[in-house]
Amino acid sequence: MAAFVVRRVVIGAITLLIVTALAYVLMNMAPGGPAAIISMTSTAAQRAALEKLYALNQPLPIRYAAWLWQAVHGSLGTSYDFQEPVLTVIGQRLPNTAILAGVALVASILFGVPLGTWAAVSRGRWLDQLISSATMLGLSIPDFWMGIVLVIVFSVTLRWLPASGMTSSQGGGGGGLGPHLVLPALVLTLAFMPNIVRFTRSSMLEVLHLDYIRTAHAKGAAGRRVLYVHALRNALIPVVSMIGLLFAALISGSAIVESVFAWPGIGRLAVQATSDRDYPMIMGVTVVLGAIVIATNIIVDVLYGVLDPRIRYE
Amino acid sequence: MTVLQRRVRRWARVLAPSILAAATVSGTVFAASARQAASYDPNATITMAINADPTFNLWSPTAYVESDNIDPLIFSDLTKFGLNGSPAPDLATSWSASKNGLTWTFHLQHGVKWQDGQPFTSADVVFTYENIVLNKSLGANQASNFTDLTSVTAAGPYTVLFHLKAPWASLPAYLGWFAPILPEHIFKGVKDPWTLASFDKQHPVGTGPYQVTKVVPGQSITLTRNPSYFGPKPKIATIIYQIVPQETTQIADLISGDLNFIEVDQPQLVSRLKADPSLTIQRVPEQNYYYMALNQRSAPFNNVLVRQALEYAINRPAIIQGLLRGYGTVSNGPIAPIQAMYYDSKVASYPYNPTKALALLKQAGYTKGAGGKLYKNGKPLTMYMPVGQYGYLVQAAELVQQYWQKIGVTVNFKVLEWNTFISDVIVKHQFQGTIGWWISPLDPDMYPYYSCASAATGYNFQGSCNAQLDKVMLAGRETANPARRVAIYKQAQQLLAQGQYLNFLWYPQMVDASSSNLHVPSVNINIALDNISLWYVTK
Amino acid sequence: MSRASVTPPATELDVAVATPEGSGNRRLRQFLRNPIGVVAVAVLVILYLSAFFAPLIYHVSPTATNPIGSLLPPGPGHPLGTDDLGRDELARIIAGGQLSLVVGVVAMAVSVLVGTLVGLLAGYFRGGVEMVLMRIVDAWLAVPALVLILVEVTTFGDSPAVIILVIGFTYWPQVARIMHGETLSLRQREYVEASRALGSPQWRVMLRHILPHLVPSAIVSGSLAVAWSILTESALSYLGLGIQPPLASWGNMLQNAQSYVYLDPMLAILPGLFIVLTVLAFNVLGNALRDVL
Repeated sequence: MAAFVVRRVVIGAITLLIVTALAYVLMNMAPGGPAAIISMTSTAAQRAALEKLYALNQPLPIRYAAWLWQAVHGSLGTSYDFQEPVLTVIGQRLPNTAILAGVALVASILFGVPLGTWAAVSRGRWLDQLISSATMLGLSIPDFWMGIVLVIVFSVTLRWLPASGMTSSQGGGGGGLGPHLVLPALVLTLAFMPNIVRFTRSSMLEVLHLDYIRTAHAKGAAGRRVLYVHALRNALIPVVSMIGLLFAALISGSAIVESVFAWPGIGRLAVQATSDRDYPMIMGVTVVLGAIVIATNIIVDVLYGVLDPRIRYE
Repeated sequence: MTVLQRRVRRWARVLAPSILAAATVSGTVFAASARQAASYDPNATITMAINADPTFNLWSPTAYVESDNIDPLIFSDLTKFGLNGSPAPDLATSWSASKNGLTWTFHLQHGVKWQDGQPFTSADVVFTYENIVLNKSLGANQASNFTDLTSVTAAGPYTVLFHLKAPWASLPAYLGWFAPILPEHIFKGVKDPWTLASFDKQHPVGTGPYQVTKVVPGQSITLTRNPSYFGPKPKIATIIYQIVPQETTQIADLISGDLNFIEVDQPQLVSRLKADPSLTIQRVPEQNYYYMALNQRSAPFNNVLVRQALEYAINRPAIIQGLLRGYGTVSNGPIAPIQAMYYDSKVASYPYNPTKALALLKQAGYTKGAGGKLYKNGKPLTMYMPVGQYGYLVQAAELVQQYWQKIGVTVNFKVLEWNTFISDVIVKHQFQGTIGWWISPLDPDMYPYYSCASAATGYNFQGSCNAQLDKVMLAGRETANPARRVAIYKQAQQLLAQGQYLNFLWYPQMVDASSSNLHVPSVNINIALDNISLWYVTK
Repeated sequence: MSRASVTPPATELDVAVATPEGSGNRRLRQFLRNPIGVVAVAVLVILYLSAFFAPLIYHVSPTATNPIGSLLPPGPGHPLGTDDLGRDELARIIAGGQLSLVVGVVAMAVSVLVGTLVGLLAGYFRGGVEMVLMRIVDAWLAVPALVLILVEVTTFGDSPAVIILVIGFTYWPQVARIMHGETLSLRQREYVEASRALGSPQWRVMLRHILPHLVPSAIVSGSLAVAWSILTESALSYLGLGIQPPLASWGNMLQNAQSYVYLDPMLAILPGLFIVLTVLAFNVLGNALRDVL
């Protein structure tokens, strides 16, 4: 087991390295340049001065090597836009996304697991179809559209909830974090819950197919209930491990929702950094998010192996 | 408008002399209602929107357009804009130019304190201009406005001298246009002023009416009244700037009560606001015009007949009605009607006339050929039109493209992301036609936009050059005599309309929306912020 | 459960219920017994046929602007009204549909083809090949999709071809993961072993014995991939990076309509409805197929 983990961590680090190289090259291929330099009012002399300040006139491999050196020593550079260390800014934004993702995840599980179980148990009947199709709907609506519609209904028309941001001093619903979380978390939940429903359903089906469950049917009511509970426990193993992956997906997939609701998270930061060509920030976000995904994968794999004794690692 | 569009660099702001007052009615009307302000709430808090985290040091290259709307509250410039749009005293109490126009003397306010308690003196002014603005290696924002300035020296603790290499009547106005004075005692010895994050992002120290008390990164900035402000005491105790990047979200916030004031850029959103009884909508005059720019560095758009023909081919009233929902008037020149003293309505006007357009093109050698397209010597008339994603630029350009296609021009339309647009079109001039707008203060000078000298790296990205126009515009810059100026600019407007160095489209009307208990002067946002002490909230 | 190297997939990929070795006919009949699946197929057929054949009978131009007649409600000459520039909304829905539906399918084809190839090669050859390929898959999945797309589109531009490739190249790792897992279990079947024992060349074994059994998963993945592609295209438009005007796509029509939502809600509702309908149909279809295949 230990050897497995070590190997995966090493491979993960190499993967992350490939990711950074890929991102660095792609990023520099984009036309235009850092917004601070590409400006209507700057003269050629000003542009030259700023390029020197940001060391942009050196060849790409040297710049990448310098960035890598810095990164390995714990610094991700200084953001052009924010003029603050990239890690500081990410450190401010990441928790905000984590809060949003966390709330959405909890809600998705609270609703998704029971629904998925219900669907599995009533397999083939209309209830199963209904649940599957209804949750499909959540997956099929563009999330920015859903967000805008919710804002129009709940903020503009009913004035029950605020339209944007994380906190405010006044306005619909009062200023606190709670009211501000409702709409964006709702959009994310509606988009991600179907995955949990579907996964729980098929996982339960897998387990329900097995012999010992069929035997339980023959045994009668009490036995059936005990075995359903047992089945559920087994079926949830992959679901539990999926939660980790889902959390990682939520964190990296929140850019659209954060943009609609002006949520100060890392997704919106990434979008902004890309349009401004804030190179250090783009790299920083890629590294941090990439590391989160890779680390989550490793943890999930380990967890999977620990929870399910049928899995053998070589 | 998409989420990427709000990070627009302040590309449309250039200052010009405004010695003469272009008096607006709104100024006096507001003064009258200010008497009613006796019943205002002195402890009021208002919330305004800002598009992104600002950089408090406006000279920094990373101070984009969002910083413009918060900075005037924290910092003072040497001058500021009065309600009538002309330069008024701020840190400078009075000023005068030498006989030859090459030296200006500014007398400074006594007894002004920085927000950290230190005294303000001429050393701060000298430091700001000598060490920051005129330091070429720093690449300070807007430094290109001061190319005629050679040096700034002190003559005592409350007097500064500005030394120019050519007479420049606009100096007092430029000194009030996003030109804050920085505290020498904080920046002295700092090698790189652009990375002083403690000042730029967290605790700026200015001499303005408000000071920063709280910054929540990504979310909000809280300003409270500066108790030691040297100017008129503001009536609003606290102003919170909420970071809301998108305009549609700002509208939703305004309606639901999270915001108290927004500038509405997109006219189609106004109708919803008008319907709301808890909001006040004001149409605000602005020196702003939209145009099509044709690249005059090469054929065929260096031919004035072609440019004139293309102007006749656009149905501008239709676009104003359909796209701008009526919030605009046709423009035939760079001076907007708000500058009543200079605005000349009797210039060549190009009403919609596709037949006339085709006649002019025929004169230029273009006739309709196969497929209804225009040809000259067997080659079709084509135009590469890259357009930047901002506001309604793309939609307006699509409409213009269709009008031009109708008369037979083959337009190759391409939408570019804003950063790419600036890089390709404005910096590298890789375009044949495009669309844009210019906003400037209430002053007639248009030299930086049309002079031959600014065609290479300046605002004249369309590359127009006319010797006669140059002479006229330069004369207008240098003279101080009011009657002469009016005559000069009349001539300039006629030349511009005749030559169509930019194909003028319309003057858009700006709309401000506020909660009905917040009273704001009915002037454009820059002037309104310069006069923040006139804002008040009724109980 | 298959080997541990198959990590539970990140999104909608479930563990497949055991594949019945039945005939295509039986599966077809089984599918037809699922009413929702059938409806989904019908909806998709109607959508695709309308998008491509409607212009033959409906000749109104989707690009002719008319600012005076903008934001008109449905009426004579404009069955669905006009948009903000006075263009006929129905013509734009049709034109937008053509583009969005094609982008969806072609992007899916790219991702399924590349993903299947990579997964198959990695799963069949194991060892070094598998290591390298699956690490590339992991790296691709580690970069947040949107950041990757943002940078790609900013770099390569936004013509429909680029958008298709960008979307396809963002989704292929998901497919590769599934195909890799399936190949791993398939290669242990008796007939594969037998074929190898008989001396068949590798490519023959892969082509004749493994690939056909990957087809069911490919079909299911494909259906879900189209759904994902269409949604991603509209997400790109929201960020200003998708298909650009004057070309119409349901995504950019939806994005454009957001600022008109108070003035003319229909402008936003129509393209949104079509997107939801199409994506839902593909998702439902994928689900139904998964139960059958």
